[in-house]
Amino acid sequence: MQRRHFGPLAGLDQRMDKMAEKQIPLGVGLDVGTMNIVSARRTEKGVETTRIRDSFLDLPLDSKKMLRLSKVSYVERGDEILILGDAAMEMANVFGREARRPLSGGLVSSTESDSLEVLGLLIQNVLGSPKVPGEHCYFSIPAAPVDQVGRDVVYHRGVFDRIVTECGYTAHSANEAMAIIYSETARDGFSGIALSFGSGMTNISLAVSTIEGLSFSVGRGGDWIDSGAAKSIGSTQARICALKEKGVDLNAPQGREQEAIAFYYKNLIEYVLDQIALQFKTIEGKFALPKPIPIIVSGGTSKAGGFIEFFTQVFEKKRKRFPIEISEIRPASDPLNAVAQGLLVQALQEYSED
Amino acid sequence: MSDAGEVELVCLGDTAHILDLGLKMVRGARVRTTLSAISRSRDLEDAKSRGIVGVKVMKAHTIKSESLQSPPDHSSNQRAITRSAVHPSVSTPVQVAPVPLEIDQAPVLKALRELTAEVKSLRKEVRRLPTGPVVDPNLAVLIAEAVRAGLSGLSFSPGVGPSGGFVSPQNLPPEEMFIPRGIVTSTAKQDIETSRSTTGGVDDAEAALRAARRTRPKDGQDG
Repeated sequence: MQRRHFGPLAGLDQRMDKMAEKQIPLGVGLDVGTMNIVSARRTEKGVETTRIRDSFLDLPLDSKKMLRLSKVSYVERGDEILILGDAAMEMANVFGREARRPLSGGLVSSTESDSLEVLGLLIQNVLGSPKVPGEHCYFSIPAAPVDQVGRDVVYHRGVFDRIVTECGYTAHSANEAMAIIYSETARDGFSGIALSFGSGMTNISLAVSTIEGLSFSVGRGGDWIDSGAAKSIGSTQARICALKEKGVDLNAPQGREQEAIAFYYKNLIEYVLDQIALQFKTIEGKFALPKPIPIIVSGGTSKAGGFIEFFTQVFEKKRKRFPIEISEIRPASDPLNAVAQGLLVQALQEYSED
Repeated sequence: MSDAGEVELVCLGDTAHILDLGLKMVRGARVRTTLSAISRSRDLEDAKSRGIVGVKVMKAHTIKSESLQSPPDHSSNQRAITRSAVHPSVSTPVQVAPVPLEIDQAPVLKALRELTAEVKSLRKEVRRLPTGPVVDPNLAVLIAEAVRAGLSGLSFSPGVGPSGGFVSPQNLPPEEMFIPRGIVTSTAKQDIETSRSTTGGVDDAEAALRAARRTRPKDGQDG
């Protein structure tokens, strides 16, 4: 029997009913990348993404005063302080140093001794506290690289499983490129080829009707472009990276530096397409593609000016010999957040009533 | 005629008769002659072996008849001997008739045949031997297994990279990796600056995925 209130409590039931209707679905997606860590969570207004730069800088304790004046947040750890995230990159320039990165080539860096603790801090700040204890969190893991012998994702997955669990969530790992399939190919029946061009590596997945047919990664990404372009023209990786972020039109590069960048972009795209063709041969007889499928391009490295047109040009030269029929090539609706959003979609499934 | 060398014969005994050289010497008698003249003298060899004649090699030069000195001995035949010794053209070399060598070839041929057969069989064996290092194709797997067995029970500090494998992880059971606890501490959270944005919802994608999975077999894969 519904109770009715009078006086000050009048309308309480209606307010409570409205709150029940507006209950925010639980679940969170967490994209762990070499350059950025991004979380995605449903809110009243839509999907809120929280991003932090995956880098840190260690400074002596006496730098505290200067940082307070600059209003830069930091973490005290013993006899040193750590600056995390975007501020680390800025302060690194001020002190004439390189910011340190806990991930290398897309995986937890084994040579970076502080990587685990820093990752714990970064993820804790990006995820926040769970809405309920044990809230489901899907975090991204790359596929094992096919061109780097001896690298696998076992340790990487274990580390993030532990961190997410210690943050109070129920941790689930999910393939990075497949997350793009879930966020970007609903209109294609969740069929397509997803390419996530990251900093440390490029992840690839092929799926038909939500079923993952092929997933792998290659050890080339944005860092590889920066390194190659820098070496070829005697510049520095940092300078090339800054030039890229400032803006470069791959279809009309200006000057030697931009031409070098465009050259390595072309090389990367060709390499990825060749690897897809090669890896597809291993499943060709076992995986049927009933109709042409789209290629979805995502990742921070794909944000370079004119990337889709550039990619399409390169692909057209290979189309005749490409073993998969492609319906279209399109960018993800939100290249930086597509992975986190796809992971959120999977996390939301955990709370569906099916 | 020029000679290779000059020698001096000295009689060390009471008398020395070198008949094939035409010499009869008494004690202390010295006769100079050529090396080639005495090289084939059997009587001289005999006298030398009995110690009654000594041979002394003088310098090598052309012996001419005028330069020869008569030995200070008393033999009446010295001049004749000297003359005959000085004129090597007169001396006739001892000619030895070649002795025909009769060798039984049968055992030699038999030995040669056996040796040839042995060499052939050795060659065959050598050809059968591997030319390069023999590597077990499963060596990488064996090494990985041995290392894993040896390291089992040891703990690793954080910061050790992901376990590299020589073989595909599909062939081996998943191995346990040491991941430290307490990476995230309750006091560790600080207000670190993050970048926030709000985008369109994922409701459509979420609903479509739910519908697609309903129509999929139960053992379909997640991402």
